[in-house]
Amino acid sequence: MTTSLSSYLDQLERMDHDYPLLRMIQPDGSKAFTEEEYDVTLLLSFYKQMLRARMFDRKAINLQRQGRIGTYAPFEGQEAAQIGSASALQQGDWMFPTYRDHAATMTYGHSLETIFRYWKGRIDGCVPPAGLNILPPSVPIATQLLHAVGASWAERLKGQDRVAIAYFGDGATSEGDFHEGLNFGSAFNTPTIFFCQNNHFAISVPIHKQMKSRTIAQKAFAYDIEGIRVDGNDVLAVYKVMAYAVEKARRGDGPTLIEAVTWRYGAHTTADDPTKYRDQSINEERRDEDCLLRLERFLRQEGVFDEQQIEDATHEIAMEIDEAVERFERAEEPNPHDMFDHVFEDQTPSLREQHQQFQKEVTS
Amino acid sequence: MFEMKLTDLGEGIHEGTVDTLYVGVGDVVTVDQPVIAVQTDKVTADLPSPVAGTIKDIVVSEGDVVSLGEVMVKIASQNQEQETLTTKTTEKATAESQTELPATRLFRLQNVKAAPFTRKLARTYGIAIETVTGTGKNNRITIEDIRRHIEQPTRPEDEVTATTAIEETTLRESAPVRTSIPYKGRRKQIGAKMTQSVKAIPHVTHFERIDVTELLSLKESYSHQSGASLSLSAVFIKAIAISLHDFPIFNSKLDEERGEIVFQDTVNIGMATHAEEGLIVPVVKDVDALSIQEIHNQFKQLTKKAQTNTCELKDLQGGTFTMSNVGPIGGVYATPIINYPETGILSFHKIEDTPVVRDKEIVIRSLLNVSFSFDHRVADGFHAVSFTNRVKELLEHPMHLLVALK
Repeated sequence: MTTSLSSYLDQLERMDHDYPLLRMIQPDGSKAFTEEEYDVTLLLSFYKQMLRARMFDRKAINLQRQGRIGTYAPFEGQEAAQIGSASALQQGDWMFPTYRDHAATMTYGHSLETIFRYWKGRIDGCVPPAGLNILPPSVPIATQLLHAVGASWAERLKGQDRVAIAYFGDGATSEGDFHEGLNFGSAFNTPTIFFCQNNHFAISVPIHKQMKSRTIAQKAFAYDIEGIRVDGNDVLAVYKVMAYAVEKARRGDGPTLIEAVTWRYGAHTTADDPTKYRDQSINEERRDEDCLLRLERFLRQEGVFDEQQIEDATHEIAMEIDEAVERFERAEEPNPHDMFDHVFEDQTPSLREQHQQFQKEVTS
Repeated sequence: MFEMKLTDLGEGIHEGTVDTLYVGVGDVVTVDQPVIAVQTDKVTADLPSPVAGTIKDIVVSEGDVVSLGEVMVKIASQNQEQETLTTKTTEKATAESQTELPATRLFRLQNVKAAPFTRKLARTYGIAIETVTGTGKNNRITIEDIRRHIEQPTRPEDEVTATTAIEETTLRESAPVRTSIPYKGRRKQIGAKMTQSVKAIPHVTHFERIDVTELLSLKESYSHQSGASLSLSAVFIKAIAISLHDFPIFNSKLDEERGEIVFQDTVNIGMATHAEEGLIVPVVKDVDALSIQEIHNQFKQLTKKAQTNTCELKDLQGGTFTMSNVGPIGGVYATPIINYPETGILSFHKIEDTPVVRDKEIVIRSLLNVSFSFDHRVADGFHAVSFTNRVKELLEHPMHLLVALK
């Protein structure tokens, strides 16, 4: 006990909540837990999925530069975070992606063609395969967290064990919706996984200018839910953490906030130039922690990285992408009138006016 | 031959500068191989070839500015099919026809103040919301107004007007009537300035009547004797300047950020002037240092500049108070909007011969109405009335004005 208030305050230890970064595979490819079993077959499959996502992403940028799709949001560097997390879901679960989470949606079951259609501005690019609950990408920041909380809460009320995952970035944690979502999820114990890919930049704003908190995971503490910080470039660590959170949510033990620490090498979207707000030489250092490279190092150390097999896989993926491009470009012309539907059940007067004006434009 | 054109690299880019050419004529390129780097306002981007083939022609050179859609490089493609695929043109979709709302109704609808729920309620009951009288703040239509409207028995004249309105709109639709003008340039600037002022400043307007019989007769005899004319505005400006010395609070501006009311060193009076393009406010600087004649000269000169649209930036800057003489056009009273961030604006209205009571007798005098708007954050009604009284005193008794001259 202390005798005065000032000495009490002096001695008061600052709340120091440590949210260590979990890794299963070190950047050099070695095992982080020597006594753990590592499922090599699973990891090989992860490797191919990440390769597929990366090749898709690069193709999409090229298509944008060739004027064949609209503005595109690249995700290169974030494949492990997305694929590791999406792999832990089961059919029936709900996925609420942003515009940068195509590696997650394609892992969960979206076809590449559908994703291309989305970036062509087509409404059919939002439609998931039958039986998969993949929502259209949320372009407004953090709104989908509330949707995910609502959907998962509904499942719980219906007595189902389905869970929902909301994807978002570091910038989204500065939005009110993020805190509302966490609070509601916490208060109602909803089966929600709040999955943050911290890529350190909210468009051009670096994370240190955005928040004083040292981690994003620690923001869970205030809502008395679990916060876990994981290396987002370690696909296995992400998968394990996500599987843990999904299992917990399924059995009714509430939401989890996962912070997957990662990096995007490229621009926020094809409409901005990262060299204007970021020293791109950092990318060189970051490449050494790259998710694909790290897994390759691991697989080589395990003696299961078969170059011929990877080359064959690369070829197969290239063909799959080419076919997807061909199909979406051959698709019937989209109906431009679609853009006036679906937000309101019945068109509002101002929307109707815009639609009429548009009709005049296209018919004149 | 595949023609590689500049596409929209960012959101809403119209042109770009050729930064680097990665290929030469005769080079073989593969699909997605970078061919050219283009710099725009937003990005510098490598543009990859959509086709595999041989470079046949390079139309641009480094440093050239290229517009959207302009051909940059021609490639002899290995795959003819790809050419047609990427150069496919969009066919125009035929639109379904829908019943249209008359444009005029839309215009009126946009000017109706009502919450979405209230609008919905009106639609549910089949009421044209623009026919409902709003009793809420700023004539906003409330749910109660809709209820009252429903209960109101339909008056026959309402129906008549409604029919005429429909006929009119049908007639108008057939003739090419201009239903809008662009909101831009000076009009938009005025809009922004007025909105800023009204949003930031709690306006109060004080009215006063000034007996200018004596002033008018003096002015007339001056013109008669000197053969020169003198504008009343010049006298008004002088009277304002003298009054501002007695009530400097109206020659100040509020700096909210610093929490200060800043008194201005000089009296610079802006004159609200009508011009074809819209309202403009040239400023007579340092009125204290000018004689009424000099004010008159500057007034004439600035008005001419304003009307011929030749005002320079310096003519429009530095105002500390604004006066508006709308008397020549007409009007009784007004509630002028302060020229932000100033504190007061004084409007002079039409001078009218009016029967008034003087010494228990009804006599005819020339009365001038004035409207004085002030910033109630900075000053109170007491100050505003005192200030206006001082202006009134100087204009009613020109001798007082003479005495106050420096």
